[in-house]
Amino acid sequence: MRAKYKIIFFLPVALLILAVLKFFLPTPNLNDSYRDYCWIKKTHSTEQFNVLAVGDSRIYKAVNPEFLIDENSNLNAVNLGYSSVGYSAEYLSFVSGRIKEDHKSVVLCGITPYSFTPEALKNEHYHSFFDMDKKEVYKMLLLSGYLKNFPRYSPAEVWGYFTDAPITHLYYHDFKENGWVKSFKLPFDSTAGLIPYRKNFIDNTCNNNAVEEYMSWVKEMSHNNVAIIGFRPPSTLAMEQLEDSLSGFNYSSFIEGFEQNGGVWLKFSLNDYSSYDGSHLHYESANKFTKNLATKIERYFK
Amino acid sequence: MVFNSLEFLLFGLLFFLLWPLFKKKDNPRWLYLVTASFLFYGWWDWRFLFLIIGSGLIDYFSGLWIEKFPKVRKQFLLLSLAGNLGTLSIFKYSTFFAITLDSLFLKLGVQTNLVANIPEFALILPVGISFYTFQSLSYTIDIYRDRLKPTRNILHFFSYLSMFPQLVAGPIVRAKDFLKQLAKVPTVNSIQVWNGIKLIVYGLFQKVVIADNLSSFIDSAFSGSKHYDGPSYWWFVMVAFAFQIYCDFSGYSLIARGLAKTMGYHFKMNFNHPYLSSSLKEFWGRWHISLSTWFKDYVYIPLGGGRKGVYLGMLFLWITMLLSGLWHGANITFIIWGAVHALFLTLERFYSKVKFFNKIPKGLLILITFIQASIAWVFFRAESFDQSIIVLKSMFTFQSSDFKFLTTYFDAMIFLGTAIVIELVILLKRTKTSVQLVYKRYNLDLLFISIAIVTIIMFRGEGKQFIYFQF
Repeated sequence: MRAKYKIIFFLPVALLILAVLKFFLPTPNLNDSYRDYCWIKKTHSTEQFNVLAVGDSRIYKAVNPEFLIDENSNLNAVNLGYSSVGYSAEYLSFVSGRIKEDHKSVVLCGITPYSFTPEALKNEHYHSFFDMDKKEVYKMLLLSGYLKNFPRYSPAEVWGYFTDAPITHLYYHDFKENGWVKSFKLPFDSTAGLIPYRKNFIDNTCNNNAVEEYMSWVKEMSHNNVAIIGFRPPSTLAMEQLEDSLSGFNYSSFIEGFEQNGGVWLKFSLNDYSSYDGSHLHYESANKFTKNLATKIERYFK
Repeated sequence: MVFNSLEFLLFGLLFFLLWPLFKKKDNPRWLYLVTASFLFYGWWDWRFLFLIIGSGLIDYFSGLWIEKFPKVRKQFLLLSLAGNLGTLSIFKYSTFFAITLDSLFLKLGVQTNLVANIPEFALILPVGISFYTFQSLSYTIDIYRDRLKPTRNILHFFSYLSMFPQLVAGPIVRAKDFLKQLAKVPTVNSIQVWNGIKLIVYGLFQKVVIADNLSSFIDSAFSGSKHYDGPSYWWFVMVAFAFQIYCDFSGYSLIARGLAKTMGYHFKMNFNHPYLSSSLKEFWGRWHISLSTWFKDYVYIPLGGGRKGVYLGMLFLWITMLLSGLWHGANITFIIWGAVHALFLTLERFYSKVKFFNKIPKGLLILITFIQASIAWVFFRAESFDQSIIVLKSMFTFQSSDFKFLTTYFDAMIFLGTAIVIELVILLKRTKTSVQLVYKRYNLDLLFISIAIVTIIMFRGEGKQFIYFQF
């Protein structure tokens, strides 16, 4: 075949192969271009919300904004959680900027001891998106529609599709535009998170100044008619015991200060939910948890 | 702007769309090339442009004055050397030199803090500085040696120095080869365009599919985030790194050559399947060829090469390899990487004369050469000298191996296997005429290129910057 015909045909042949493969292959486990888009949108959007869930990965995996509000209402909700988030003045200011001012608003704060440690207060995950080059941000927001159609596949996944081999190892993430991350992990191991968390608190315990700053923010928001709802995101009993013993964070005195400053504290039973790694909720539990949370905050919108 | 980005796709499409309008006349062609190249380079940081323009102007005028004032030609060469090497020292080596001097003075009992006094601007490493500095240097040195006539047209000179396909990561093109090409109206036929497309697609495949997909396996090993250890694990890591760096850099070179070919220019081959070499000497004739020949022509041979006896030849080899290591990075680990290669090359010179070694099957020699290169890569990749030693100890510890990491990194192993198979197929294609015939008869290149495009779209790794940009 002559070179000029090859130049004409190589792209159509590639597109044909791609179309055939796309027909046979299901959507892959992780569309990371779309993942990045979701994080960038969460960070750089200026849209304001009535209900905002804030906190670390336990929050962005546990609170599904879809179930927080009645779909027929005029309200809107978002999950502004980031991995290992710390309640620094910067993060709190970011949250404040996203609260809808002309309505009664609710901020749901997932309080984990790690969120007040010096390492968390660096907010590295949040900064990785906040500090991004403006060109990258613009490009990602502009191209999101196209990126959805070109997910990356992993050879292991493709192998699994064609061989029907039982999946024994999988860390599933499905990123949603509302900030929630639907997730689960195989094999299920409710103790997996304990070792990393034990390491997390070495030379890195609760910073009392950060707690005080957070309390001032709660007071300010409450004065501005924003309902601040606090709760400990459900994980496992072993995880809670580990955090309580190593973090230097005292929940009783925190809750006392939180309520004195106008916050409302909610308690959830650990027995109602299941965590796939001892830290994060399986997506089914996350939906159940969100529905319970929604019931408890209903009164704020009446 | 990197080749594996959307910006470059748009830039490239626009460039090739307008190229036929400008390419027929010299000045418009050069102006178009320079403008496009400056846009390409300035996309990283427009301030970098001052550096390349400044360094280029020194060499442009030095070249003219070397010819015009023969009595003081040496001074103008020195001006060019000082300008280029000075810039490189400030931006690339100032921190390294300051740390080295600080620790040296401390050993002598004098407390200094040179690192803290480095101006902030010198802490930024402009992308590709080592590449265009060497390219620029070769221009003035060749004029000084009467091997090249300087160009009087500044656009002609800057289109040589800044041409975007090879500006930031080579191949390092020589003025005496490329200025002539730039002076002609480039013509291109469909065979050249098809060959250019093949190079671009295969280069992208190497970078995006192989190198990028191996990076998480290697990065996690060197960052210590995964708790695997043992000889088998570290050998896999180092073999993976050998292919990651090869595919990353060779991928860039192929794309650069493909772009040039599509424009109607020719860059010499920069990588010729180095892991199929049966000796380290051969390896250096196949790995980063434009840099190896640069060091050979401008360092090793001017020092005396092999003409001044065996022992001086060895000394010159060591100097060249150590400088090559330093060129790659301002860290002691890169210098040791150069030293390890010098050591292996020295040993090779001796044992290649022993009859027994000439009887070793070629396949085994290829394996031995690859193992030597992989050992040297440890120093190149490690974060510090101490880490290199830990990794080497793990590689050569005779203990039972745990292969659990193969499950965790199943995907990386698939990509590593693919890279190895491709090299073996290329070996077969080169040595077996029947394979060549099948390839041609059934137009397998069309099918392979189409499959490569599908693989790039479906199995691309997380977009990473090219490793060699940091050099």
